[in-house]
Amino acid sequence: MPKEHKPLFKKGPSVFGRFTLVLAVGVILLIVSFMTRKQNPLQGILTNIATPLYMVSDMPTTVSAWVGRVMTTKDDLRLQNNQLEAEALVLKGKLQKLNALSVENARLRELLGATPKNVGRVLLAEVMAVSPNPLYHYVMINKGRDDGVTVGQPVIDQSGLFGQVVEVAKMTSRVLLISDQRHAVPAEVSRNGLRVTIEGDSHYHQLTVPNVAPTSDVQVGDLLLTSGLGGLFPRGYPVATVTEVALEKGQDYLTIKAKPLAELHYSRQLLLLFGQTP
Amino acid sequence: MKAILLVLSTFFLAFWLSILTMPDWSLWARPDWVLLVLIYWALAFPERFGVWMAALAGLLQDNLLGSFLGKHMIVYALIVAVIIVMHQRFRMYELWHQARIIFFLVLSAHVLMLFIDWLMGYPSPLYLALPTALLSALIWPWLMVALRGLRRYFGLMAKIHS
Repeated sequence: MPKEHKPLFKKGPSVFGRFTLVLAVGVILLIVSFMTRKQNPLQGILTNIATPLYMVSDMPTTVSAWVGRVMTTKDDLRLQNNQLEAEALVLKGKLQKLNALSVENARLRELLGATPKNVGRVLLAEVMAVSPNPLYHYVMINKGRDDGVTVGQPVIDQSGLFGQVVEVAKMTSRVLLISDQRHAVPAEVSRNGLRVTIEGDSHYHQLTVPNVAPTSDVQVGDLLLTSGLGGLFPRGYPVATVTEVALEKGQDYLTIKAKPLAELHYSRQLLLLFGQTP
Repeated sequence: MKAILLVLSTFFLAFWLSILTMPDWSLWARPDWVLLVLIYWALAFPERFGVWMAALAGLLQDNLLGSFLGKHMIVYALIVAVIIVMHQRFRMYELWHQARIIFFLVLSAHVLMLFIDWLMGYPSPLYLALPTALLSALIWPWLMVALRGLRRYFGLMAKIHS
């Protein structure tokens, strides 16, 4: 009878044993991210690891911007300076009116006994990387927990609502765009206050407004503002303009398309809003 | 040490290529660099480089691409497990024969990932996996030769078994 030998090499679980373990862990992770909206702690650790990669991937843009800055001619600079001065003048003029209006607004609110509107501070952030997958609409920005960024914080660019922070790491965070399929914004039509939601549609230039009754008063060209409902986005930030209103045969609701005002595809400078009550 | 550095730098490059900002029209036609590099190292060192590394790389890829954690992890681990089982046969094939197999492996990987996306509420047509698989297969022979050259240059030899 042959004697049983001890195996020469120690063997762990077989390839498929190992794969089964990975499968189990992966399925648990998927279920967790499907069930909860909270940030998975693992995600933060991974983003910290990935930060150098994002920085390197951003390098071509940074370098080209730097080259552009170094190579500008004096004439260009002078021209740009003139333009900026003119723009500043116009903006100052507008600001004067705004100051007067906000003073008046505060006085009227006092008269009404209403609570004063809380205008918080903002933080300028820069886009480091954009989503390489056309299905997911997000950007990575160069501000993180160290700068006081929190999950759920609203993000705007110079012309409208941009998105919200969904994940925070030490020095970076992930911002989900309003055009992502997972995203919806509670909004209102500025003309008549009709409450709607604006949902993302995986298109950078088009959002959908679902579940609006056929009798509702929505017209092409209407401006949609954040309504402050839902408690996440402060009230009154412009989101989109309506580009298409139609009642298709057999549909219970209007088909409404809107064009986002924020330059979701181009913006590089973003503003994070702090402490604004909705 | 040299081996670890070489493997890490190839992965760094692969991850970088997979998040590099590209023009819009080319977004769907990006080879799956990370999977290709994983397959290469699994073929070169099937005893030492395997399912665990694939799972780890997949997890990082999930984070980089902003997909649900676990998607790339499962799929990459599966493909590498298949490669490890068939590595002795695979090494014998000619480069273009290998490329054909890579095509089907990457295609099934990406169809599987689109299926997981669909389960998680991101429906999208399955043919989107096709350009990625095609480009990955076309790149494989060159990548294979380049990585093999690098590996030999640094004197890392695959163990030969009976």
